[in-house]
Amino acid sequence: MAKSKKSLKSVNTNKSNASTAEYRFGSELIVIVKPEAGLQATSDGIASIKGADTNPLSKLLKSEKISMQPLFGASEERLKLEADSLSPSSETKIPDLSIYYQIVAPEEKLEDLAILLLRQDIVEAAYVKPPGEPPVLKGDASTMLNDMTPSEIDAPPVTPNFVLRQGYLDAAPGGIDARHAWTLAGGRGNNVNIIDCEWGWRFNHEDLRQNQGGIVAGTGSTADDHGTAVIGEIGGDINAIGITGICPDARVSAVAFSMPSATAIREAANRLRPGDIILLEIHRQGPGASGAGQDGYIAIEWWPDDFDAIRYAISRGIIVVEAAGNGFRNLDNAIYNVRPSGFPASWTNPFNRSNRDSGAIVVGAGAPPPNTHGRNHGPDRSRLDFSNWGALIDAQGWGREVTTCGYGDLQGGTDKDLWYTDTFSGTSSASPIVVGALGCLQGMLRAQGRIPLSPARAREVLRATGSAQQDAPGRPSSQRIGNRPNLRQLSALVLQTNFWVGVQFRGTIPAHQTQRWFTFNWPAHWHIIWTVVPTNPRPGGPQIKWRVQVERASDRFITYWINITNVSASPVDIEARFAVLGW
Amino acid sequence: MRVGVQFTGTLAAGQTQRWFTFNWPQQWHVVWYVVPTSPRSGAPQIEWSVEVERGSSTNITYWITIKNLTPVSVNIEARYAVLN
Repeated sequence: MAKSKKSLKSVNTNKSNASTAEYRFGSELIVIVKPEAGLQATSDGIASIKGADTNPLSKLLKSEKISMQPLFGASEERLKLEADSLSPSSETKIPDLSIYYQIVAPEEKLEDLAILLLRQDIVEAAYVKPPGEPPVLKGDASTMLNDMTPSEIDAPPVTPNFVLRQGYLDAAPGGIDARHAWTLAGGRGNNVNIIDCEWGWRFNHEDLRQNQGGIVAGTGSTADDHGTAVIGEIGGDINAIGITGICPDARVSAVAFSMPSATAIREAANRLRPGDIILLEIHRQGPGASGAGQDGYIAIEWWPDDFDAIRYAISRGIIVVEAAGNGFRNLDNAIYNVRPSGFPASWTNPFNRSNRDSGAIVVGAGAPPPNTHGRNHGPDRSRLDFSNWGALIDAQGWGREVTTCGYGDLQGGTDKDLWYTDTFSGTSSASPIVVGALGCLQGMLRAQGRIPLSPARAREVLRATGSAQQDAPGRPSSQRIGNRPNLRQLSALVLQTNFWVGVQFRGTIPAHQTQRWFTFNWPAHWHIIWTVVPTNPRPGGPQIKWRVQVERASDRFITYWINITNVSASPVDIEARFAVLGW
Repeated sequence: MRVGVQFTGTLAAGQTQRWFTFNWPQQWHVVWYVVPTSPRSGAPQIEWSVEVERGSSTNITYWITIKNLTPVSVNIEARYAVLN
């Protein structure tokens, strides 16, 4: 673009300030009440169904002229029932969303209110979350992300085809080899639903009109370039103009962060089936942030309510892809172990998955191949300077030079529905690439009538395959952002199948007795049948019968319970056999 | 051999529900099995039984009866394998 540096800086500064205001939902004051309090909030105020004294809290709310609303929208009873139906165990603990509340109050009062609320006996935690933001800015104009200036030249009568500029579609290692996926049945994301959670979108864009469901919850912002770019990467239409998405046959919808982020995640999860995908295009200011731009911004699962909202989606079998954030931070840093004063006493750092695991797939930003669009951001697949890194991060996508819809720097003019960009960036541009790859895989599996990837299996295959991260000066590959997906490898892995049989256990059952065995840690995606045979001959009549019961012990594993009855008058030796039929 | 998922569903606490699936070619050797998809560890969640109807000379209908053994609702996935 032929603008002087001076004028560019001036334009960008003004535009950036406006964009930030439009994207903000604002700080959130979240309250977690003690489960034993049995609190319920109604239009008349708060009450306890378990006899807890709610008067002090009621008085506080009244004196401060504030209200307290269930964060997750539905009634406490409904939320409790949902949690009960989904499980509690140490590995797959399903959050009780009924204990979360949002305080509606002026933003400048939130910190003081949190202190007052923490003094209440029935309050377990009260904390203020910084506003969530998309990765739009990063401080000074020379290194800003996603602050492109639209071209003033009107679009031609017919938009050119920009697909050759979408190097991320190309064969690995430079791209993710989406074109290979497209040759396989379902590999364009057929029968897969994806919901992008962020702020604004242009679903009337000329390249986003097929297979889209629009905004299904919340109110879209007028700051719509970011979301338009994201869904372009995932689901841009198949046609002769503009761009093509990675999984264009997937149905892409949106939930707007015109509500608390955790509420939005639950809204999205409730609209999806197992195997569908949620994308979280948000990060927020974490501990130790400098205050300069988005320095120190981190993935949102660090906050308790967002973690539990993600866990809620995961427990429903929905894959959640989460931007790692553009905060320049090592997420393994001990600073993230320090529990903020308002967090629950039981809180532990979720960035260390040995503490607890949200189940999300966390995505970092890697450099595209050098000379993409004539520019160089370091060695291919090296960590980009702004991208957070750490053991938590599962995979990377292009964090620079992403050609997609929106922004108008590649094709601009007066009609925003014709805008395209060559330079969408950040963990914002990286995450949709991973979502697109997963959309292709789920489409392939569904086309074959196979079980779609569970959240845990999706993470497992992404970590097991792909083009490896590379070193850059000052940014070694030990600063983990994971591999770039490779759909040729991924499709081979998820579509492969196998068959084998074996004997799992042997035993003896007394006459006319029933005994039960269990066998655990069987991968949930394996198709398994069980048979039992006697091993001591006794001709003349049946000796045994058996019944199989099944327990989904976690997202990843199944436990089988085999009940075997000796129907004879003598002890019988048995052998329990399994057949793995495929997956 | 081919494996797949024929249907998914939800059973209320303690509920038993029967599904049927029809027009399966009679020459196919099919086995059925069911797994929960909502984790709840510590005890069995479901069991199932299969009944079979010869819908016509060429087709078979399978009736899958699934029982929720728990006091809360459970999501299930009915899987099949065609062995030949």
